[in-house]
Amino acid sequence: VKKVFEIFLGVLTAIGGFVDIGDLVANAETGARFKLNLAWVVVVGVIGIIVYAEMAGRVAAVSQRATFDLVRERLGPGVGLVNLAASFFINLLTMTAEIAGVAIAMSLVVSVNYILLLPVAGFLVWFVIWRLPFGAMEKLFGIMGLALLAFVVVVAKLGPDWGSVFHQASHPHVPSDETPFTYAYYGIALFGAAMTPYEVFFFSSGAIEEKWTAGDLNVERANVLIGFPLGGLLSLSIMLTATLVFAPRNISVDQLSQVPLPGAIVAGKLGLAALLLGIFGATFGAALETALSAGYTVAQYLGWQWGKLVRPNDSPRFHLVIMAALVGGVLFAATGVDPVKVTEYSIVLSAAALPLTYFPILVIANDPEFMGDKVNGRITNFLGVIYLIILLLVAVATIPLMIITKAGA
Amino acid sequence: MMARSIYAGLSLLDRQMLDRDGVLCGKVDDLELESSPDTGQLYVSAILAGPGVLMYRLRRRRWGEWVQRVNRLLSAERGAGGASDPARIPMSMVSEVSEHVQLAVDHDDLATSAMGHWVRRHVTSHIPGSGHKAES
Repeated sequence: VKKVFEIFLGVLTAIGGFVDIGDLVANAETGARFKLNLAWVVVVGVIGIIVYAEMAGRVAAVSQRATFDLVRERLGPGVGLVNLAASFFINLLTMTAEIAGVAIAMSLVVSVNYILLLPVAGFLVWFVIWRLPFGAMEKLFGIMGLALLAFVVVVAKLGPDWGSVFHQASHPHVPSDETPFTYAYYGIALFGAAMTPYEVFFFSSGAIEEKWTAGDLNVERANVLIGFPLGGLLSLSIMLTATLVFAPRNISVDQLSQVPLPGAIVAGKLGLAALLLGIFGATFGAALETALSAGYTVAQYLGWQWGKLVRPNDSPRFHLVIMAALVGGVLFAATGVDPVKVTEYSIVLSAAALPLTYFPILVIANDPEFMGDKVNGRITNFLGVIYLIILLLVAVATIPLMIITKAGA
Repeated sequence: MMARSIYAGLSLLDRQMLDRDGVLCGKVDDLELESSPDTGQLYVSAILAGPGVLMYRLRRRRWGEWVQRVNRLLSAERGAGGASDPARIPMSMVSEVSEHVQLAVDHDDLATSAMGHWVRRHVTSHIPGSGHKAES
């Protein structure tokens, strides 16, 4: 029974943890602008994150080694350092966007400019990392993020014609007022939002924080196989509400505060409250994950003691990196930089950097010295290689597309 | 005693080091090689580990020297100046080489811990709760 509970909680947290500010913004934006013509990208992204999160979690559970530990050992210190610098920078952008998301969600409740709430949001994130045990932290914000399921209720209340929804989603085309370049650019944004690298840094380090071993692989698989698809379902609901509410009125989404508006339209105050709670939980959870990931990546590259299992005094540098990242993120957001733009850049640049994270995982997951008989099976390897090719193509195309489309303008 | 032969570049470099209590204490940043006077064969005489060492290996010699100097100052501040060079870990202190490198020393005596000590003394220990594990 304990095991069932464990899986249940894990799945809940995976749903809450999958959707973050990147998914909220990218799905609402593309729904409003491209209707359901990019829905297939969400499905491709969810399968990709399932394949690689399962691999990273399995490697961590079996070998007790987290992703960046392996990155340094497999790629060497030089390439590893370049990888660390790129991953750390993109993660910092993502964290900035998440903290801004937390502050915006709070500002919609208390009617204070969100910039004034940024230090509060940053402090709360630090305080939770400093004081709350790993499991409690994951569960609390995962379950809060579940309030986003209200998007599914909103979709049901809007009552779309399901036949035409499936027809639209399964017959994608470039809308007549868009170019193939903008279409591809927003496709990459959605893909990057689904496969953001910090999810893997956090999942693999979290497996070690939760003391998973080879015996916990069933829990690990259940988390991945149920949690991420349900997270994908949430993403699609967000896209669908935007398609149904914003697209017919030619409203483009350029602020986070627009995302929960469909809830207010169909379900009134209660719907709006649920969605705001969900946005708060999802962005706060992701702010925690990205801030921790800043510490995880640096500490694992340099071999420092890390994690929430030891006293902060026993992992001082790990905590210092997290504090520095949070201060940097809050200051950057406080310059008044547009949080939606920061989010867009973070997910698109994530997409460009994906091979850096996922290639070493694929290599290690095939190494019997680390994995024993828990190496990748044939199907996993087949999917892993296919996705690696997709990741490389996306990485090559991202920057040129960014230039051609003027970042999706 | 017959030394074990391994591919030092593959099995030692960049591996995670654990101290005698299992505390993570840095990576194998570089190796010191000596040639045996009898046979002329090269063998690994010591592990070199610490922030400056890694910069040396990445061909940033000046930065490396600078960081090592800071590191030595930090070690001296703690009064741990006993060992001639805390960044040098003789192979006799290595108890096991597997997916990680197990050392028979305390992490407090290694160069890799010096900056951590500084951060603990000047930053984290001043914040309430730093001496407690996060409890549920």
